[in-house]
Amino acid sequence: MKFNKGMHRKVFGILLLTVISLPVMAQKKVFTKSGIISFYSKTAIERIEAKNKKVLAVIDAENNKIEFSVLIKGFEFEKALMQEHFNENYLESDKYPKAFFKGSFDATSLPITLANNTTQKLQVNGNLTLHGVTNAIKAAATIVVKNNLITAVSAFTIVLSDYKIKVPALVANNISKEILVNINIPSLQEMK
Amino acid sequence: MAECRRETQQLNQVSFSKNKIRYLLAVILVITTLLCIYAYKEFMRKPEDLSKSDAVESITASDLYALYSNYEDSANKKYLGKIIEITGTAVEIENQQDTLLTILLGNTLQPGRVSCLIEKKQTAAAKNILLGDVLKIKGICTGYLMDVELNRCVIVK
Repeated sequence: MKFNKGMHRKVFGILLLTVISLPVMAQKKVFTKSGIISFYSKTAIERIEAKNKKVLAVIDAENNKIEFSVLIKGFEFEKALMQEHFNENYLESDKYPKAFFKGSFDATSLPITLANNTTQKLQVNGNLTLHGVTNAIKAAATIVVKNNLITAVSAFTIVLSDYKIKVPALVANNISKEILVNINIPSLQEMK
Repeated sequence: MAECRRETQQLNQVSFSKNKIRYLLAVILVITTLLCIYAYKEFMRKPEDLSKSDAVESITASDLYALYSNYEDSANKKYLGKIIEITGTAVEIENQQDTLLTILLGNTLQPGRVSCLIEKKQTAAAKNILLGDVLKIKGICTGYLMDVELNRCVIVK
């Protein structure tokens, strides 16, 4: 087979394009089933901390969508009593077993790239549904892609009364009215 | 003579009521101590160790998944927050940083699995598990996302 110079260039060009665009194209929609959400309540009397290690998260970079789902019963506390009160009295997890967030990246953050060796600071806007109540929230997030491993972190504060979470007067001083929520996603995989 | 008798009676009454008060105080003290011990134990109580608790029901992984994917609400009413025992084939094993071990039971014909997050203390014992092994796992059902989720799992067999 004989190629002329122009043909060579074309073939080379197409090959190069394929090589460059494949990894980027392939990672437009990524997800995890094992994201981590933890929250903290700190008062002078008591420090309460809980962690859920089975968070479902989907980031669709192409359509600018981001979604999280978490099972309330999956939050683990150090003390059993805290966990029982959290489920039975505060979050009523039998009635509202899930919390979810649906949102998008702020226009100033676009376009989202999931290309290797990048770090992006982003602004996320969306709706958080917790305890059957939906509120708009804003949060800063960071997506890091290093050695083809995609990780993401975010943190925000929620006010308990916004979600109709009632704390009895007796323990009102033990539980903070504002709760710091941390999201840590150690690895996001391409969605097939 | 009569006066004397009355005085002794009075004295007896006084000492009787004194004894009564002492007795009452002792009872109150014992009750308060017991209550304090109970409250402290309750306060410090750790989440239960599933290896010592009985499952409320035994079910196969594919049946549980089928139930949850079709009737999530009624499945939640039955299983949410309960200890259940699952039998199934290990179709996926996820191990993150050697501390977060998840074994997914089910069959490859279904789109989802029963995802069992293994209790930290059990991860060493669970490391020898291979894909294709048929296992019996006990855990607390926390609900349904893409898979049916089980937490704090222990390997029964």
